[in-house]
Amino acid sequence: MKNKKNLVSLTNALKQLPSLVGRGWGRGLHFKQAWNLIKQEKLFSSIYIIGTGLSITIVMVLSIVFYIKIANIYPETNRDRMLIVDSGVEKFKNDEGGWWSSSLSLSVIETCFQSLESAEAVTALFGESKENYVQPDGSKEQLPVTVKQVDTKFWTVFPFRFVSGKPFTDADFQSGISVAVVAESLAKRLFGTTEVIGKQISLDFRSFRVCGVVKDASYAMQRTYAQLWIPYTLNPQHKEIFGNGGSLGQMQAYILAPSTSDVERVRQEVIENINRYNQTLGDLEFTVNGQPDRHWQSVFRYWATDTPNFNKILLQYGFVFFILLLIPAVSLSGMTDSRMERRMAEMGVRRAFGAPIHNLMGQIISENFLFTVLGGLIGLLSSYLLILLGRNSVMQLGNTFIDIPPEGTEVVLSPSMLLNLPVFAIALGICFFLNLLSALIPAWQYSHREIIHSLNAKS
Amino acid sequence: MLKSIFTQILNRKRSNSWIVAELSLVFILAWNITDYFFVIGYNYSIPNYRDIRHTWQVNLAEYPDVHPLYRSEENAGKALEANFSRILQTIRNYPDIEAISISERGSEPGSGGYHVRGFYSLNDTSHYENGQAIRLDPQSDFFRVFGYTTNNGKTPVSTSDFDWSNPNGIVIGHSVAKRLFPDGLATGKELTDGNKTQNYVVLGIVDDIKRFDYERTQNTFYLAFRCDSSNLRNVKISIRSKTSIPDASFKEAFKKEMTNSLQIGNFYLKSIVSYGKIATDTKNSFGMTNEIRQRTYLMIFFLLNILLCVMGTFWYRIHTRREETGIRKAMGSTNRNIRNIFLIEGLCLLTIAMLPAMIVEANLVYAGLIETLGRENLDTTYLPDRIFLRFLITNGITWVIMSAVIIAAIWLPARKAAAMPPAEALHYE
Repeated sequence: MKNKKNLVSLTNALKQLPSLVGRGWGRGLHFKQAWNLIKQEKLFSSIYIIGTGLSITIVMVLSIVFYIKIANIYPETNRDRMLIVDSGVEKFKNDEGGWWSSSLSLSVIETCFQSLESAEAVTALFGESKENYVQPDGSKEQLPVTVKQVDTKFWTVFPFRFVSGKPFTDADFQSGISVAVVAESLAKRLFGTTEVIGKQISLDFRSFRVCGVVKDASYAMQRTYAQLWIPYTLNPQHKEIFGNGGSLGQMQAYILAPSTSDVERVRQEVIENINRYNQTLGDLEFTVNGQPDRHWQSVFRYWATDTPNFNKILLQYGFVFFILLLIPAVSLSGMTDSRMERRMAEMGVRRAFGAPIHNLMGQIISENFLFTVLGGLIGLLSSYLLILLGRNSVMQLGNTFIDIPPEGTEVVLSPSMLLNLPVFAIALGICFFLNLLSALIPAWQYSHREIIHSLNAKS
Repeated sequence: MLKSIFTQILNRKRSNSWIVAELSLVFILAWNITDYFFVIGYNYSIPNYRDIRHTWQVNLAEYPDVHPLYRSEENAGKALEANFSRILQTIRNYPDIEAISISERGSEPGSGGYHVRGFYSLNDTSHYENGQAIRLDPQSDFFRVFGYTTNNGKTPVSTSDFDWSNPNGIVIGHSVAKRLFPDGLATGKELTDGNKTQNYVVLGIVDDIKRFDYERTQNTFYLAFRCDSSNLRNVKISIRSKTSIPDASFKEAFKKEMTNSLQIGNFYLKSIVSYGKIATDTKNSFGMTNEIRQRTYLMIFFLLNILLCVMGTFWYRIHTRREETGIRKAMGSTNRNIRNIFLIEGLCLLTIAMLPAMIVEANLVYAGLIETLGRENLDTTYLPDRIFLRFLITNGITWVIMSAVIIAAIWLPARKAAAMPPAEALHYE
């Protein structure tokens, strides 16, 4: 019976919590009290704040890493209206005779995707990249570089900023002319300037004319990062076909919808096209295992051969986040509990003079929030520090396989990847959640103690 | 003393239940990580009887047909073969090299390549073993380059120690020999391949190798192939440099001196990479480095949480128990006695927390959620496969690690409390 009553008052208290916290903060009273508390008990407060900071650090590192992987960031600023198909499986309909899986053939991309009516643009990329070297003029030393083999629509789907020049033309692309768009950093390194349009670069002893210079993409932007972008028509393998049905090859497709609200429509059309394409295949069946993926889904797709259960994956990540917050929350609860124990007498007096329970709970929770926000600030700063220090490996968090960058590649993280509203909002949200998780139970317990026990407590 | 400590723990049920909850949670997670590192660490301790120190991969490339130095007549048949063997000869003549090896792509150590083949013993086809098939050109010295041995690492071997005149000769790893020929003698016996169509004669046995340092030993078969114009673009050239020359200077000198002399036919020297780096890169790209790194960071995070939780709670606790401390001191307790009371209290809490944690862990093991235990055939000579023993050991290690953290957390506040003069401590009473 008593428990039930307690439960009712807990829900009441919770309902009033926001206004209570607000009132407390408004008067500045809880804040002042909490501030004094911090000053009085420097050591305990710093342990508590460091504990909070620690947990916020680790959760923020993860959040920022996934923010960089998923959000619209230069040059992948269209991620939210992009669909990706980068692999497929071909098998016999009667389940005999085996199956093949790999990237897609150019012909399947042309048939199924480049014919889309609802899409704004579709680009095909040559999937595999091998070790490439640039031979700088007058130097024996070769320079390892990353090269992406692309088409002309690439520059629409991924809106690179051209420092000078422009993308290679459709005519250049179709006739396989050796032209290249180079990254600003490479242009500076090879020629000392970005005004290099028309100059020649030797890539694996083949000469390329520079037609454009773009602002560098960060190595963290794995789908677009390169120092040189060249037409894939130069590579005879771009028409290569694996398997039996002509659907598998070495290409990947990126489809851009006109707006985020059109993505679903484009997706439906892609699926229809693939179904129609399948009817032309006879004994074979071509599947893309649940693709096209939204960009965020593609981050969690590792294997070409099965359909990931995205709900399950999100649940798993949610669970990891929860555990990462729960561990510190339990330890912070324990500390709050000890702190409350010492302030029992104060609670007793306040209750004896008629302070309502929810008022006390509000006070405890909002006091605690000050600690949490201070910890959150420290946590956010130290997560920036950790990410910057570990920038060459931190983006690998959550990856199954890692691409090894060529020697000398540095992962550059721009300020806008770290300092932005979504990241701050995540940090604040986590503070709220952690605060509730760590203060609710002790606040509940201590504000509900019998007054006589509380009054009797020694401090 | 234990009895009074347990009474005290019971008396502070509430505060202690937070600590025990936290310790249990962290114990489970920390055990999981410890268990993982136990298996990895155990695997590292198994010897890998090959030596990739001072070994290098020499990578060649060819000029594209638009290059002024490109000659189409050098690009096929005898001319191509002649160019390639001139290259090998040039490398062989390089003074700082001990040995050179030609092997099929994917056969080189640490690359991640793995070509599976299986064989039966011809006399007893109930025995079947599969493993990595490494293909080497017996005119070069694969075994010497990669420091292979026999007799558990005692005798170095060279490819020329075996009589490769029979094209169907095969050298097998120690564990293959033990499994296919349990009675001991393998050399001279015959194997037959998976389809039982082709027989091979065992030329000899070399010590076991591991594919990666963090794995256990594997079955390995060494077969011969002849490098010619049809496959020379598909081979890897490996060399061993002299131990007396530091790696960095060898690499620089080799690049500098060989760039010109290796421009033969359409070939040119693209790069020289140490096998150490190849192994590191593979470990990285297979996600292993990342796995280890993530687990290490998580472990540090969990332990720091424990440190702060125990330190924070005990600071308060010791503060509120000043009277008790004062009385104890007045009754003749030494500083050390007082400190030990708190330390033992902490360790008792850890031990209490360990019990529910172990129940959860046992359920995790039972439910098959421990990745490193996923094997069907458990091998009892391999310690991590003896589940119960491993469970006890890893829990023990976890207890030791966590108790170290707890002692570190309690030490400071306990020392401070113990150092307080009894009069002042009693004064609070």
